[in-house]
Amino acid sequence: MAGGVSLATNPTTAVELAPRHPSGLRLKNPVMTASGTFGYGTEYAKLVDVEQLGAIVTKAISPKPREGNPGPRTVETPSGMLNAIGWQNVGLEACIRDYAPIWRRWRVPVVVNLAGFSVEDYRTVAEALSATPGVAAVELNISCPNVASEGTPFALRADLAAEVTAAVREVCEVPLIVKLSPNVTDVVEIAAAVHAAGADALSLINTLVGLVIDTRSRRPFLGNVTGGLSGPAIRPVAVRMVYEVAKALPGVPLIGAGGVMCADDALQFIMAGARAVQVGTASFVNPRAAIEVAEGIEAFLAREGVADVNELVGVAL
Amino acid sequence: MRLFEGLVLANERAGEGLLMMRVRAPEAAREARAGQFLHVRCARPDGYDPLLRRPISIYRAADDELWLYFDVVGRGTAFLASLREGDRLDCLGPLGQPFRIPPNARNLLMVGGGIGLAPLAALADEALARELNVTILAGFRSGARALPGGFVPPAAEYVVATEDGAIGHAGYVTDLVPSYLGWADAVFACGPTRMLESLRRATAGTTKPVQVSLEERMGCAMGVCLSCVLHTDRGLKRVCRDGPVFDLAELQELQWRAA
Repeated sequence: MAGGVSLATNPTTAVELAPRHPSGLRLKNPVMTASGTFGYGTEYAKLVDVEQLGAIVTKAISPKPREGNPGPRTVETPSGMLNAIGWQNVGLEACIRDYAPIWRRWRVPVVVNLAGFSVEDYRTVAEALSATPGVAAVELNISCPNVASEGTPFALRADLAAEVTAAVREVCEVPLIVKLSPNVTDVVEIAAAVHAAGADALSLINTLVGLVIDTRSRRPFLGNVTGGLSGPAIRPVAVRMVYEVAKALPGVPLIGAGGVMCADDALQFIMAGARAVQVGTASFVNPRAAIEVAEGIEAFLAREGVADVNELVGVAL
Repeated sequence: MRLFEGLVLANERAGEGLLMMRVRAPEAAREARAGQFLHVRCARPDGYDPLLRRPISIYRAADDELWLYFDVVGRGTAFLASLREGDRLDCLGPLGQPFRIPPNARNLLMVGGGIGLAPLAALADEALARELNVTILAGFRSGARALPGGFVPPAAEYVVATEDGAIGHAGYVTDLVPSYLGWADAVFACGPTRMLESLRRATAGTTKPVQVSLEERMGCAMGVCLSCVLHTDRGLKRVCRDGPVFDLAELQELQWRAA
């Protein structure tokens, strides 16, 4: 149509995040929630229609219930926030008993984020949850900066990250996402190692380690001293890291996360090479943020005459 | 609980550095119970700084309006102070567990410090509508910051204490509690942690129910971010969702502290 504008009235928004896994992980749109910002999904279900989301990623689950860190646990920063919650969660048993039956009824895939202090911890939660109906996939949280494993967090070294990924892969029947830390020198090296060790998809980035001093008390503001920085302040860092990994590892499913507040932010991640995005801190600001991002992506596709969101993945590379 | 835009009807001075904002929000006003709060956006719709919402207690819910009584302490509340008649306020709420008036209580003692008066005024409205007797003890740093009596339900006894002694009792509001405790069937309080600690001492040994509403920094106010948790006799509880109203007796700490 010379000179005309082609409008895709019903653009395709579905994405596949685990193409090499037998069951796959197909999302009806590329927008997920980010772990720790949407609880177990049930809290926001009273306010928003969670089934409009591409997927829900839960709060991190550890083998046993955890009380988390001393407070204060969060502090606002310029266009962002620091958090050091410390993996407070109900534990594996209560997760399976109380939440999985609800997730099973929802027409939206639920991805459970896994927390642990050892390879064995991760295997325990991965094995149990991957056998639980209602759990569509798991996301390995090896990058939380708040809880140091013995020595280095797994996400900070390629060999440790690959080791825990391979160990979990052995016992994990469902698609496996591994969430990467930005607090590293070379994220590409770690991404490559984790993918080679069996991750179906990589999500990036987790929070950036930060510190706020309370000048009145002359002490660190957070009970944990340091915390993870999230929110729109970190978005350009996250987009850059997705871009680097996408460039180095073409074809590996990437999930972009970090400061997505609106559809335009999400589209930046997609154009940088992400097949999907996670909306995190934005949900605190606007509980409908993730749904509005999904609606905004669809509107962008229609407006720009793009038939399928997958056509935009990595176009900026 | 809903996500809604309220229409600002007025935003007036209510003491030095304090404001009373009237917001038109018919559905939320019908839904609101005394002790609940709104989580309000403190930036323009496309603004991300300040990023997080601020929890503000509901001072009054009546006639399609919600009243918010707040102290201008930082950038979030400075934004709220800048709003004028006709502006929109992005609100989430009403949120949290309300005060619970015990079924047999006739005489209610309310102890508020500064903006801690807000949820108590709402409770006084509810109690007076049920023809209960209400005494409000209100403490302020100075006479200039005292909430004018015109804002308080006229049928409630309103007793003021100021730290500078400019109005009413010179000293802390909790100094007044012992002389009213015998009369009261139940005590309700909201204010700074230090005031609640004094209240705990002033009510030690009483078997009367003492409910307190806690002021705490919050992230989501939906119970997911786990910023505002406290140790209680029932385990870790979230101020936003399990509170902000708690029985004083069950609280092992009044503020979430660094270990």
